[in-house]
Amino acid sequence: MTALLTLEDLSIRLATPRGPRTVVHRVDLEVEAGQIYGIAGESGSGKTLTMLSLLGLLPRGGVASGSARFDGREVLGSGADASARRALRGRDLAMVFQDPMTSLHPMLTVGKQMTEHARRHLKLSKKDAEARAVQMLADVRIPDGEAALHAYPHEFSGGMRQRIAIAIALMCEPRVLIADEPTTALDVTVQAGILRLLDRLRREKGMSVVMITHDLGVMSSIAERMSVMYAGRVIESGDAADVLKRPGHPYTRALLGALPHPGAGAQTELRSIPGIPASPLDPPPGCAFHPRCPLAVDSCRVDVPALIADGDHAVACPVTMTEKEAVA
Amino acid sequence: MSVAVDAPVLEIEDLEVVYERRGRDPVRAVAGVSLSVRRGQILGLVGESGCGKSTLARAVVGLEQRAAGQVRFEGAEVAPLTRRARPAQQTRLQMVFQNPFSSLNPRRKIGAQLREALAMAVGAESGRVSDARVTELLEQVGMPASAAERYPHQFSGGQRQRIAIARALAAGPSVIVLDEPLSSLDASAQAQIANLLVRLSRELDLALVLISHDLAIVQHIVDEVAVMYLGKLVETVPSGELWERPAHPYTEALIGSIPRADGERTLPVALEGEVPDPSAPPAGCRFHPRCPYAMDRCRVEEPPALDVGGGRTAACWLQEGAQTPRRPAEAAAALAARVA
Repeated sequence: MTALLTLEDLSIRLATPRGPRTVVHRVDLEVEAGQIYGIAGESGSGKTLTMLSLLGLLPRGGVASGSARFDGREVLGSGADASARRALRGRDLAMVFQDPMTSLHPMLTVGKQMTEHARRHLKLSKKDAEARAVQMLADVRIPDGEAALHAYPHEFSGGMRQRIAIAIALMCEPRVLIADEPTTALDVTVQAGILRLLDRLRREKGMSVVMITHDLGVMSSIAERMSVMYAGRVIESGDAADVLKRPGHPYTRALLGALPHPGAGAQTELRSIPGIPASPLDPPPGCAFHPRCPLAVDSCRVDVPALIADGDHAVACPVTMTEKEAVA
Repeated sequence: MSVAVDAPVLEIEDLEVVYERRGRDPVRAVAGVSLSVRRGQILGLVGESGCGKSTLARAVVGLEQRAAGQVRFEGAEVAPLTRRARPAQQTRLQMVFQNPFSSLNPRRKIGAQLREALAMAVGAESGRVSDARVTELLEQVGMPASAAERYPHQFSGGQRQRIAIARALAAGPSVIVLDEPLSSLDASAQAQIANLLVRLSRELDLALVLISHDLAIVQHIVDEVAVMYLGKLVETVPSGELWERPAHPYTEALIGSIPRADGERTLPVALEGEVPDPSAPPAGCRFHPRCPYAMDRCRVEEPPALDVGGGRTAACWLQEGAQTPRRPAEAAAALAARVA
């Protein structure tokens, strides 16, 4: 299968008060059509910036370099195919953000927000756009779409607002939906509904989803492939089941270890990761995770480890690599 | 064990909190809740947004007016806070809030804030509190003595939550009510603070009431879980039994909706429908419109907290007459067999 979205050697530099800083380093990833691709990491790991660069939404002074191809056509930098980029940003790619209360306009009706871009990009009449909006609302299980079109965001619950935000994103039938922590602000019962919705859209419409989340439970339930980022670098990637069952990087292992275990019962100590996440603006030398890593050796403090693939599963840690060889 | 040791340190009885709204129906945010907390016990109060758990927490420490019911702390009634200083004895009931950045004073050094809290506890002047006491307090929550000379903004979220806990400890409390103390923290800090709370409770024989929306982390650290839905408790259960044997359909739904990081790609189970408007709760059992097991009786008659054995309660007609707690599906099957 050929990839629908390919990032190659994507780096991002931001202007900071202390001068330009590279905050995302040489990210490679491939998303296939109809696939849910997860990007995991804590706040500041660069997972959101990487995706924002595709939409041209980097903060002022931000520059992306490297290559991003959509359907085989370059959409990044000066070599970009301008019409491909316009099509990508206008309709092929859509994004849903964490907090629907801030991504929806509080003073415009749901109908207005749903039809505005569809009328422009798909050249639909108002009537056709509204009919389509009602259809999309039904798709995301908002009852009585006709009435919902005339309502304002505050009239809905948090879970319904996020479903409306997804319906808006779906209006132009995007081929890739970028979902940035779409369920983090929601209760688990509501989250379950959103995850099922995204999975259904993938199955029924063949839509790809890039799911950005810090929650490995969410990742596990929905993603087919995944990458883990730390301080602006991909430190592990592969088949999601493989990464979660056989994590190779000490950071991925620590993240999994820090999760509460369902059914563990009372007062089982949670294993915490010592220290705090490295700042991508000022990462430690060598492997950015080394100050928090139980396995760190001298070379980790000096050399940035390369992402080395073993079949389908790539890990950026020379220490666990040798551990694997010793077992084999 | 003597009676005094076993007596609850905090007792909540039929507590109700009602918000009056101009021109609209009042909201019974807490609609009759009874709970008791023993000395040194960690109680988790779990529910989704809007269920009334934070309102309950605030009413317990006197930050909300009660419409009905009683709260007793160490045997004495807790009066809602007024402009007068609260009785000295009740400063041993403390509260920690969700966001430590807004609960700490940004313009005063940590040391000064802790010193003030320590002085207040003994009715002395701040100047009379020794540096050693401040250092001791910081060390109790795993912070270095040097933190006293710094300001809140110089710390991470997890560290600020430690400081907020230290300030609550200054009063020598026997109960601390914590409202979502973990939810603004990232995963690694969450585990650190959770472990700290358990350690403090054990070392100081301190009772904790931990309010949270996160059942997975709560059941790790508490002794007992109380599950709340739309202003009422639906179940109380020792945390060790919660996962394997939830007795209320809502608890079962909550557990089923938590995604697991096991790499199995299993989608969590979604709960049908939306949380109803709290100003017009459904008749009968408040959960019945979303309950897969709802029976005719559930639509008209509200189930009380039934004793289901093993020190557990569940407000569900499925459990009526149960000697031991059963999973809702088992109970429903048993009931169907009896009818047939």
